Amino acid sequence: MNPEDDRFSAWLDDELGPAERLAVEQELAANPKRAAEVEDLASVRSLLRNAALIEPRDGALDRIVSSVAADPGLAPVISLASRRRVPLIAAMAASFAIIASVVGGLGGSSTLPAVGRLIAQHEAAASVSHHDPITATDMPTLGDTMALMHTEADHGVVHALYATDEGDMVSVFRQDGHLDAEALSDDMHGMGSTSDMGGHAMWSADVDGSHVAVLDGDGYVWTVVTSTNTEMSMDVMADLPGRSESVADRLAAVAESIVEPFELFGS
Amino acid sequence: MYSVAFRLSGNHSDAEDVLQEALVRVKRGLESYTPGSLHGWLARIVTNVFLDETRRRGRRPQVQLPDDPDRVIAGSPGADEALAMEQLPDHLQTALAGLPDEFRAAVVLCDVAGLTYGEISDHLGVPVGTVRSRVHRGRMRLREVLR
Repeated sequence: MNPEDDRFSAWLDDELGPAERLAVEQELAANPKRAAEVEDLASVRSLLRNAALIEPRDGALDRIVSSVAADPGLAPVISLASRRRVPLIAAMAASFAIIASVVGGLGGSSTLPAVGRLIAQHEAAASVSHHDPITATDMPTLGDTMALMHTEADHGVVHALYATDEGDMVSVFRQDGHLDAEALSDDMHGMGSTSDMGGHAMWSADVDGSHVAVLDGDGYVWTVVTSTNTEMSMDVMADLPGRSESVADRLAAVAESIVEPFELFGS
Repeated sequence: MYSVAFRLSGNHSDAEDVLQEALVRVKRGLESYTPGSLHGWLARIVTNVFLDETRRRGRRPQVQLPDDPDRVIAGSPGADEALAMEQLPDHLQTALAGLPDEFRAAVVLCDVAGLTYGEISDHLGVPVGTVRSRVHRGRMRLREVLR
């Protein structure tokens, strides 16, 4: 086989157009020697694709994660619970656990959750093999069937991972601010839809294989990420609390700014 | 990520260094991640770290160790894959480590990370035709060790 004739690998990878594919298949049917050579290529391909995943050596993963974690980043609220074994995927999970960072903040400006990053953080946390239920007083209780498994915070964004009895995972992210659903839709290139959830603006969409819903909750912006389980996401959304204190504070500030001039005239 | 790093580097020591640097880049570069192929994005970062490191060192991987059978875990083969999961034969891993960096990167991204030619083209910044050529020529060289 001519090493320059790369049609045969492309054929194995289903990367040919119809005309080239037909030509290759006709050649293979007519030329047993060529067919045997392509079979050799297929064997190489299969060996590589079926090779087992490889883990770092003992202790290496802890060293790597510690080194990466030493970079300024996550301030854990509660660390991962009872990680008895650290499989390969945990390396990814740990890497994302120290990554969380979301645009936004308290104040008059709108807040746009970094949806892509939150999805990645959810996937990483949900993929850790072993979680044990934990308690965290500052995160909402989501019914009787949703156990809080993990929580952490970074730059004002709190991430809580819940699991159902069936093992379905849902992430709830909380950050200060007010959702600008229209700006978020623009930021996501028009993806998703805006609706009303109990009087609060909500944006939701299926993104990258996950269902994402973002809710404006009286001073909090909540982002819920599940693995395309829309019904569970909506149930969670209905349970999320607002922050009435923050709203009251803002109303008081507004009221004061209105009343103050009249008080000046009256004094 | 570690499997890609190991297949590129050919040994645990270099693969661990590549993984560590890749995770740092992931941490610092998460701002640039947009919804899409998370898997491909991570594979690209690992590959870029590897290529940067080999360019910096000005050398090819020097040590090729066989897979450690005690350190492997099951992968997830496609439904049409007839072969059972198994570790890569030592001579094939050695041959893989001996490929020119560009060929090895293309083969690993295609056959270990499972990316399409288009995705590899985007990640490596080379035309699809170049990816196609590198994958084929890399496999042709690996084929020699199986004969």
